[in-house]
Amino acid sequence: MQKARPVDEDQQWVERCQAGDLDAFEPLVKQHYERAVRIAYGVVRRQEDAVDVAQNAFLKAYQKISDFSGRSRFSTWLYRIVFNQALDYKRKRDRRKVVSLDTSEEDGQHPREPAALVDSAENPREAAYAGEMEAQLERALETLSEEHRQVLILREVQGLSYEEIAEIAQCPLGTVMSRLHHARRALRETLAQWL
Amino acid sequence: MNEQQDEQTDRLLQAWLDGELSEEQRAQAESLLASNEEHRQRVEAYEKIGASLRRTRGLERVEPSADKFWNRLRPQLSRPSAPPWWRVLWLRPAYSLALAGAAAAVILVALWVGTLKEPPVPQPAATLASEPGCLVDFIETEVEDATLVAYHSEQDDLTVLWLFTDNDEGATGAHSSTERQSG
Repeated sequence: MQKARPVDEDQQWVERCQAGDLDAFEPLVKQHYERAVRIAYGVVRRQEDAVDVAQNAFLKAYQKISDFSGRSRFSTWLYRIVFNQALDYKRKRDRRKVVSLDTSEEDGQHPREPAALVDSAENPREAAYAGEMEAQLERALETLSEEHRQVLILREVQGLSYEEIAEIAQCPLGTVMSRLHHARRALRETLAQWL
Repeated sequence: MNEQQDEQTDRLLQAWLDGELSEEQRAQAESLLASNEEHRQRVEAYEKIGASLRRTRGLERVEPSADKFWNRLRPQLSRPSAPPWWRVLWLRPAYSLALAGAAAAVILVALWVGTLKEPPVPQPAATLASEPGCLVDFIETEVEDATLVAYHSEQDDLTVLWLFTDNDEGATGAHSSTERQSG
């Protein structure tokens, strides 16, 4: 992943976009698109859909760039748009069909066959054990509420700070900490035999 | 340790794992970890959960490349977005005037239709006829533009006749005659 650019440099491009310079949006897109796709993937679970969601989010961000006041970082503001677009996309998709864990077979990564362990010949028993644990983890994740699950994913998978998560999920810092605590505790209790 | 204390400790340890503690709080958490095996196992469990989540929910490689992503996005940025309906009215005064005119026309038509309805003809006999033991009758006469109404009450032993006529001013006049039954 690219090293985070200093905030000042983002602000410079944002101001040029707000002045009507479309091409000034390019460095902002290239700097943040990878994380945007990853955040979307954490919600929608399909890479193609995650790219579509990220594209729509960047489009919306550009259309609303004059609304960006600079009170938060551009990246946090952008990721909030990505996150909300991903949640909307997931809700619409879930309304169209029942989503079961088996549909994750369509993803690039299957929870039962983690990419990092599929070809491991060194310790197949450990690989099988880890695969089964991850399958159990997926089931346990589905028992959490959407809010708890997303806060956990933003923290563990995207590596965002509590403050960033609070801005993206638009909830108080205390709520982020509370949801994280509850989610981890619930998973620890459910997966006790695997940990 | 009671439940509340356990929860507070758990929150502290999770925040330590996430690097979200002040220097003082970090020292406190590390002291707890150093002195308690159960706390160390708990943090280890949270680390394993995090690692599994990153394997199952993370993307190893993001496709497409940054250039392809931008090339796909750029044409959409230059396409003008559809403004909201209220903005269309604001920016095109002709649309606002047309809409206001149409609304005014609808209101005027509704008012005009309301005035076409005829006022109800007064029917005094209808009220009297509802009284018990009363008889009200309209009697045909040979007098033009005149209506004769008879009211008879057995209880009051009373008969009243009204002759309604339309005078030149359009008002209705009434002449009555009462008679009581003797004996």
